[in-house]
Amino acid sequence: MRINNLIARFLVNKTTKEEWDTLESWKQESQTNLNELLEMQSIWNNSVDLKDYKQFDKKSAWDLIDNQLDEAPVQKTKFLNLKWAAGIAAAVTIIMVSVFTFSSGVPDGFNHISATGIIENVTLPDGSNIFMNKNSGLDYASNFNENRTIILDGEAYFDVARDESKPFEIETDHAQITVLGTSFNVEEHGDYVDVYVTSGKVKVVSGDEEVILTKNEMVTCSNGKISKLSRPGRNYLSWKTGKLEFSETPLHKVVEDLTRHFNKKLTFASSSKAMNQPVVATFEGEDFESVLETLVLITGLKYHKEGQKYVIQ
Amino acid sequence: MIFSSKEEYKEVFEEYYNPLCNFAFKFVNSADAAEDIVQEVFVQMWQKRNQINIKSGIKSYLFQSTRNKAIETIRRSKLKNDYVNEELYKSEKSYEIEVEADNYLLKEQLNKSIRQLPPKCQQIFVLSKMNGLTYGEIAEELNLSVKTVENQIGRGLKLLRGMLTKMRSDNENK
Repeated sequence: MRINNLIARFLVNKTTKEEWDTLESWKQESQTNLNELLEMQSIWNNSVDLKDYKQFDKKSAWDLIDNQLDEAPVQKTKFLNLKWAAGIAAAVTIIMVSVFTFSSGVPDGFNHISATGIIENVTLPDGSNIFMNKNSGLDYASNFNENRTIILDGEAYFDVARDESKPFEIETDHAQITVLGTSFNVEEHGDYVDVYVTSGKVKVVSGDEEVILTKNEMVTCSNGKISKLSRPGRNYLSWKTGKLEFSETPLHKVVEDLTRHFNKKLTFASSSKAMNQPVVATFEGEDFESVLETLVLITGLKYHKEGQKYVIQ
Repeated sequence: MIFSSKEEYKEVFEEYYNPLCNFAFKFVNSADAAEDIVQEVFVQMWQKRNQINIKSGIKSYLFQSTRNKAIETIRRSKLKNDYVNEELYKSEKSYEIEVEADNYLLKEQLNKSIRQLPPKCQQIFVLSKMNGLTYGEIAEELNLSVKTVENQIGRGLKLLRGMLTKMRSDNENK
């Protein structure tokens, strides 16, 4: 009997004792024969899954996406697409989280605005537009048209009207920010402040140090020191847009953004090895639990609740 | 990950499109949805080609992104309950994207190779593996002897082995 037949019968367990012996001795003749049999067996076993394997139309699919690849910009700058920014000569994006003025009352010569339960949109006397996050307060000079100085307690998004003769300045505990051109983000924490420029030019002074930032640059200021961050996060405006976007973002960064966005305690169990697992996902207008459910589904991880704290395993 | 040209990108697309669609199909159980997902993955990968540092390689990136998007699609779908299938729960556990990716790439190669077999050989192989017929049933169906069927099966496997070995060495020499 030919070897092809023997192998075919062997694969469906139909060999007689005699055939089995013949195949055994063929197998032992050489390493090549042995390898051949093993590989044929593996192909045989793998082929069974092919029943459901489909053939999709590659050519049509490529034609469909081809155009989109032509027009696709190399980098997307979402911030610049904000509709309302277009009407104003120079837009400034500022996010600050701070605690220093709220308790000490409104300084002399300043007016106070606060947003408690909701995000507020306010327009200042010079035409600058501001979105204030929940639980934020803002003081601006009473003679604001002459003295464009802001003290912020909390978090806000500024869209600043251009007036080069009157600088627009934001004061924080850790840095003074002067608007030179167009847009940027500032986020102040208890002991440091982040400044992220989305377009144009911004001067940041902290202690003796001074730096001018342009598009897509970000610094952290703490104790009079300014340090540059190489990769600014993408979700600095998530509190306002309600949108969180992650593309190949390491899980620990995702957790950082979620913690800030939802103001929840979310951490890793000490045994967790998943910190750098990349995540690709977009969330819009979802609540924390729902986002977390998706996240564990995507990553294959689990979480549990310890009091107010969520722990990823 | 920088693609020097669109031609180069198209090569990646050609290589991965079909296995990725099959992979996505396991989640969403719809050919149209699977294709939409994979096309979106390829458009996004192109847009982000200079931004993303893909340490784990294109293969893992593509399969991971496809998987994530498929899950998002299921979540957003109103047919949620119909769509959430075994595959999804399976992968919820310790998920090894690399292993899964290789598995789908092997299926793709096998599928391609089977379609290159001589017609008779191919027909018999397909009846046996895809349609689950026994050698005897195939012999009856095609009016052949069982011996001929067995011989064609053995021959087919030998040819497939040769083609897969060649593909593997071609890939290594790329």
